[in-house]
Amino acid sequence: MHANNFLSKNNFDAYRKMCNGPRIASPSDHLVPIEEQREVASRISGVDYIELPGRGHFIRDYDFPELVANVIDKMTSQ
Amino acid sequence: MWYPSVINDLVLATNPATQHPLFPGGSVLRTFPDPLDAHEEIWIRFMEEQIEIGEKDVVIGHSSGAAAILRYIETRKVEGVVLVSAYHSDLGDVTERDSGYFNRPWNWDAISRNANWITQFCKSPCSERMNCRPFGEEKTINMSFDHAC
Repeated sequence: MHANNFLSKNNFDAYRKMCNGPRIASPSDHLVPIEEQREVASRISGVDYIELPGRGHFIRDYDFPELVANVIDKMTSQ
Repeated sequence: MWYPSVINDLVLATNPATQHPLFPGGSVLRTFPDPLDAHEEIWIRFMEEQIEIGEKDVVIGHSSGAAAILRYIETRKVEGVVLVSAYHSDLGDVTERDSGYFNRPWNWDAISRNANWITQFCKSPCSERMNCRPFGEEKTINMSFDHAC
């Protein structure tokens, strides 16, 4: 098992740009709608799909214990 | 942001049965080039040539990072994948459309086949009980994030 790589762009400027745009100007708009994410899950065979309530776009969290526990579980149950 | 915390926790993680580190090869947390637009051609090249993601690696991707990983493993194998707030279309956004990830069909069979395991985390819709505020009452970025999934 090699490196644990971590990909994200920390794209706060883009988020601001998107959030000021018309696409999210109504209460029904989301940065990434949950229907879109469920669609992704439905396309991946064998995916472990986990919905967590009420934490937005995972931007304001300072830890992510569910993710850590999941990776440890996957890597020790192979 | 949770990235450093997750990396630190996983660096310290050990196999309960053997007490050996789960990731003896270490961890990589990098700021990507082209951070605002996240063009596929730039990111995929960076993942391949700079980070050198390999078949025994676990890759965690958030938002655009999730889209990049999905494209990456269409043609390359990895050990495991964690997707956070993943999407597969441009969501009607010009920046997303120009990024390149969403201009052709996805090879879901290859994506499913090229990782030994894939976990996807998503946020459930907000509810009144969760004290989410109606969109449009404020203009702060935090407001927007409250309602993003």
